Amino acid sequence: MRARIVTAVVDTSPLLSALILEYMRRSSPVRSENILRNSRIADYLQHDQKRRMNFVRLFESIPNILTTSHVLGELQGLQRLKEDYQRGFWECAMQWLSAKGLDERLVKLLDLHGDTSLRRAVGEVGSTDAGLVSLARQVGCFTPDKVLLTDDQRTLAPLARQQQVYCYVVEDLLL
Amino acid sequence: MEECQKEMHMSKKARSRKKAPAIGPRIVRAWFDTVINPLLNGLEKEQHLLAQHNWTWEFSPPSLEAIHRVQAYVDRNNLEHFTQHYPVVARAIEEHDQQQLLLLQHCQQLQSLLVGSPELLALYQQVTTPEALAEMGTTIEQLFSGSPQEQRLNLLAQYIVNHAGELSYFYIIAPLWNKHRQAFLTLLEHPSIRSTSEAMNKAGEAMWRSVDKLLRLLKEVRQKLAEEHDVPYVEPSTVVVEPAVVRYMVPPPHVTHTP
Repeated sequence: MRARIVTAVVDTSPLLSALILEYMRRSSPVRSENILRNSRIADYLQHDQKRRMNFVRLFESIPNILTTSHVLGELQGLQRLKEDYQRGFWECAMQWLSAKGLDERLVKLLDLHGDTSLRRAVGEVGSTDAGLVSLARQVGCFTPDKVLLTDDQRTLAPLARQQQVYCYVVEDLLL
Repeated sequence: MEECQKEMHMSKKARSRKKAPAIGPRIVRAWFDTVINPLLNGLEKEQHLLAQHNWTWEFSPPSLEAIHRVQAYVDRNNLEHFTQHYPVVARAIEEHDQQQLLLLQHCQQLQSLLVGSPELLALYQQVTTPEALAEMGTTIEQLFSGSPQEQRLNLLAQYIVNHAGELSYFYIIAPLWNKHRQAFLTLLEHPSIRSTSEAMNKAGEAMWRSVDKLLRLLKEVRQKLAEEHDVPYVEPSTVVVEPAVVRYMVPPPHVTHTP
């Protein structure tokens, strides 16, 4: 049986999915469908209500959620809701993140430059991913209860594991 | 002089022949893809919801979530061209949009009445006592995401206006709504609310009829156009056949109402 996750550093895609699902849960079923149709939610959540509920439960069960300012900055560019829906999304997102006690950390680019093991990664995977790995290392994500959560199996997960960070691909946790 | 007039007359005639409606397969294709088909899809959804008395009313911002003015479904320019050729459809669209506005107004009225009614407040207080919440395994903050009481009443009133059915437990308000749904809906029968509720239902039924009329008209026109111009309802090149599934991939129209 998997250990309970107590602390998670969260990548952009799962965080965006968590916020969209929260917004859907607080909306009427008809609006919820419209939100889903017009949002960039992870593919594995698109058509599977059971997985969506498991995803919600997973995030509800994690007491400490951290992310970087870079990730939060990416959210607006990735979410596709407009006008009233966009306002509703952000209002809901801020309420939820506040209730969850989101710990937002700034990982400076020049700090990454000073970290010899991550300096190269910035050039290969970008500052957001390298920053997440850096934060995960700072808070000690080296055991199954302290982890980095991502949807990115191709780039971030291998980079994290290479840096000894305990990393889960979220989809694998929903089975 | 007479000849000149005759010539002028002839050239006018020739010009008017040139101006005669030149609807060909390309235009029909565009009408199907950007006006008729998307509108039929939207109207079918509207009809389904209206039949369930789900007006898709949202109190914030006041709107109907899935019952729109026709323009929201189609390309405006092609709609204008299409309705120039089919004034009967233009009239049906106008009627649809008027009914949509009326429905919206009725929803607003019923919402205000419910939110201000002592009966809703009393029921809300009764079902959200600490004991009642503990029994449901939830808290007021969880159910209403920390929103103030006025918002909570608004949310419940919205569900009542829409005659909401049982909700999946995915929805945060489901434990409360599902347990007390019948009691909430019974408020529509209360003497102080009944007449407004009945007027609402009549507006919904009138809306259903206008949707039905427009649907029938559009289907008739589509069939006529398809047969006259040898244009299929859906372009065969956009039909993808998968094992046991036929999915129609119509290029999306320019839709003005997007969340």
